[in-house]
Amino acid sequence: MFEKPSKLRPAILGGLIIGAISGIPGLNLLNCCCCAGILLGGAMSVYLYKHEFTGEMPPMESSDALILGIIAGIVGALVTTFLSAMISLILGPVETEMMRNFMVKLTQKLEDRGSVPQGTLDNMRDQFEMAMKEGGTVGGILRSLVYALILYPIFSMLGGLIGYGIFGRKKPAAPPQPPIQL
Amino acid sequence: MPLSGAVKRLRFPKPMLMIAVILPMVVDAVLNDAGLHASTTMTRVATGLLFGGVMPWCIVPLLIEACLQLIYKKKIPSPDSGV
Repeated sequence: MFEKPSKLRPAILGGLIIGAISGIPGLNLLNCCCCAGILLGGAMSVYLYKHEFTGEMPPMESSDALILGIIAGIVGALVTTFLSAMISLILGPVETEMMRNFMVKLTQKLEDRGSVPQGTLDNMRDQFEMAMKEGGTVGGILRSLVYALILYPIFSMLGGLIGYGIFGRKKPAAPPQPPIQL
Repeated sequence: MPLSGAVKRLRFPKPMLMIAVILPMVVDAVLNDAGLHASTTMTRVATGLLFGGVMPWCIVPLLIEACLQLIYKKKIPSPDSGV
């Protein structure tokens, strides 16, 4: 009986997809839609794993998709944190400026509507500025790594299960017909 | 409901159903980001409700099956492949 293929390669590739989507400024806005980038990475790792199976191997199971998603999420969290830190180091605070512009527009819109009290808006601005200041420090990077290591495997696991539902499941084979007695 | 009923009676989703509930939300978000169509609260609620209302029925049986496989280290037989 043949063994199942190794999960490491597809999981790392899925993690790299998660890292690229979540780490590159602008592209990471995809994650605003239900962490779509992370779900996609988990599903892609299952898709890649599915292609490594041959006819002689036992079929892929949902537990394989679960484990693949979790590994891809852990790799993705590490890659994202590394990539974000590198981009901040090389290009400067591109992401911070993007977020600041977004926040200014949002608070302006809320202020114009008058639906949120002024004190709350000021509080939001202060909290945002504090988070942006902390984000560039070693402590901030480590904190974001811890959050990522908790959240990414969960969403990537869900992505892996969705991927398994779409790509991985095989309809159960029909039982063999008994020989016809004449 | 996805979390109720006997675990032995797992029912698995059809792939096309999963794609059909994901696609409207993705199209709404992508077209809005591309500036080709203005996504409204109603379109977001409608596509989000479709996704959020159907997806648990698809994911929870798979999650239960995967956890049972990991716990008992054996293949859990799949009763059927359709919802």
